[in-house]
Parts: sequence; structure tokens; C-alpha cells
Amino acid sequence: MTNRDRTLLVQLADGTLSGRRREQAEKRLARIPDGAERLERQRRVAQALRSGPATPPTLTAASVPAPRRSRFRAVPLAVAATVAAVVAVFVAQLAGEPSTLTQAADLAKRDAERPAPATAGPALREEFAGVTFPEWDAEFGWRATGARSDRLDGRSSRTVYYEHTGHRIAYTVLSGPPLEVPDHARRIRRDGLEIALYRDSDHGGHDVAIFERNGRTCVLAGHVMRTSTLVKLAAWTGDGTVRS
Amino acid sequence: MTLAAELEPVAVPTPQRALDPETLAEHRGRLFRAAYAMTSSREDAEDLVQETFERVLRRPRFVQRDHDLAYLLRILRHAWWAQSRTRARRRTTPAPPEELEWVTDRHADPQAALDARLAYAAIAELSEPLRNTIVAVDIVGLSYKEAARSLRTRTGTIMSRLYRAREQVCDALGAS
Repeated sequence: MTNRDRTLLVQLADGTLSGRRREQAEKRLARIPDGAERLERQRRVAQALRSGPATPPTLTAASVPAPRRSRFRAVPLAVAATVAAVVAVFVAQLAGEPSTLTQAADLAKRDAERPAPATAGPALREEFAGVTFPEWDAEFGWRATGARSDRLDGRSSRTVYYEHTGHRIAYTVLSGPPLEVPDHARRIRRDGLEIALYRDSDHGGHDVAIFERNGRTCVLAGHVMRTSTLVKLAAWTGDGTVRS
Repeated sequence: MTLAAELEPVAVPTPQRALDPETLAEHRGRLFRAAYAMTSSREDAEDLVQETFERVLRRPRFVQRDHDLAYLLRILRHAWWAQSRTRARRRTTPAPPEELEWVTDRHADPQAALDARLAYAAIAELSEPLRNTIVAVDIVGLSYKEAARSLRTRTGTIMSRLYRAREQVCDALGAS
């Protein structure tokens, strides 16, 4: 079959030929071995792809950044935005902590938006960006109490809250490529997992653990008696049954 | 000046117009499908569309005639390349199929609706030129000519790649 035959099959399948050109293409197709079958294969895929995933509600009009109104107004706004961004980055660097991670850690102080996901063995029925949230109640006594979804600096995030003897922690998974961990964080390795640890003194002593699962940044934050608790929870995979 | 030179067609610059940011939302659905076909992940696709819009709005953009969608698709591809380079430095495992609501074409038969999920998964496995082509034509809905302009290649190449892309996707459907 020649390249010309292939292009004709594509055009016939898409209905972009008409009149005499279509008749000529159909005559030529009749001479191609299994031409009718090949045409049907092209049509099948093209037709299948007319269906597709619905646009998620989170990607609504509100998520499209507002356009600038006019050039004259945009210039001072752009300058102000740039200055604000530079100041924000500078402040963040002074604090030694990227802003997205700060926001993720701050989710530990927020309320859940919906009930806790159901339990499914050593995992919860909650998965986000390829990361399964663990069920820690049976092993460690940390019970899932709620969940929420957010957008942080253009990234989607999912958080599950856990509680144990009056303490509350938030396990947040961020979509997108992994984030750089703060320079001042202490790095340790547990069961092959690299975990960055630091204490967020601006928020009443929140302990924060940052690690990666399935190439995603995961943030475990909250009040705990010992930092080792976060390490233990972060590294636990339920003997490999918790998919990460 | 010779007669031949006088008769030589003069290249007339194609009129351009500013891309209206207000119209971006109209293309959200198609861009999301394109992003989903590239990333196989709802979250990554959302981020990619968001990143595309943010890139577009950083400065005034000018497009030829009604080529907004082709232009947006090109920016989306560039954003995906940038993200892929970052991602390539990290070892990741493919994201599992995610729960997503699917919109079925009114005229599609039930088999086509079933095929759609498999087809999207198969597209993610195609080589980049084939994937870009089938996304541009079958998912975003560009004409062969628009797709050729967007992908900076010839119309014949687009049709040839489209044939091969559909063949490979159909193989995946047939194996299911």
C-alpha cells in the first residue's frame, strides 16, 4: 500500500472527500487488499475519539486567570505583580520554605470538606495522582477523619486528615512534578524513602515531613509528640499493599 | 524589472489579531481532552491546561484569523514538553486509570463509547509525532491544514501520521 493510499483512506474515513474525488478514491480503495477493513479501522478510532473525558468542575471559568483590562492599566499592575512576586519569593527564601509547601503544610489547620474515605484493607478508598492514602488505624491508631481538595499555586491537591489521642495530622498529595524541599530541612532515609523534616515554628510548632510517592510530593503535617511518628507513618507501606 | 519578476506573486503578510483572553474558556474542554490524552492523568491534565492559560495571559498574543485553538494547542504542547523534561529527571510509575466522567458523542454507538477509554490510553503510548497528530485532528478537531500549521509540517505528512496513529490505536482496541 502506498502513502497515497493511506492518505485517501484517512480522507474517506473522515468524509473530507466529495464528488468526483471521492468516487476516484473509492475505486482505488476497491483495488487495495483488505481496503474495506482498513477503512473501517480508521473510522472506528475516529468515531471512538468523539467521546472523551468530561471537563472537571475544578477546571471551570473561575480557574482561567482574569485577563488584563487595558494596556495602560496593565503596566502598573504588571509592575506591582512582579514586585509582589519578587517580595514573596524573597520572603519565602528568608523563611527557607517554598510557598506551595507552606500552603500544603497549612492545610493541617483547615477543616475537612467531606467525611473520611472508606477503609479498604491497609488502604483507604482514596487515591490521588497515583498515590493511595494509607489506613493507619489498625497499625498505629491514627484514624482517618475527613478529606478535602484544593488548588495550591496552580496544582491540584488532595488531603486526608487523621487523628489519634487528640492529635491531628494532614496527609496532602500534590499533583505535578515534585517540589524542591526547603534547604533547612533535615533529610533522613527510612525503608528506602527519603524524607525531609522540619518544624514550622510560625504555626505553633507544626512538624512537617515531605517525601515522594509515585513521583508526587507528599506533605505530612501536624502536631505530634515526636517527629519520629511522622517518619514512621510516611515510610509505612503495609508490607507493600499500600500502592504508592 | 523583468516581466517574470513583475508577475511573481508577492507575499502578503497574513493579517493578525490579538487573541481575546475572554474566549479562552470556550476551548477549555478540547484542551483538557488533549492534555488528558498526553498525560493519562486528570490532575496532570488540569495542571497542564491551567499552565497553558497562564502562559497565554503573560503577555498579549496575536493569532492569524481564527486559529486560536491551533495556537493554544501549540502552547499546551510546549508546556507539556517543559513538564516532561522535569518529570524525566524523576523516576515515576504510570498513574493508574482514574475515575473520570466521560462524555459520549450523541451519534456514537455504545461500542465507540467503550472504545474511547481504551483509545485514550493507547494514544499515550504512541510516539510523539503520531500522538501529536491524532490529538490535533481527532481530539481537538483541527483540520489537516490547521494541524499541519500547528505542528509545522506538511498536510500529507499529517494524513500519513494520522493513518499510522489510528492503526496503532485500533490494534490496542482489538486486543481488548
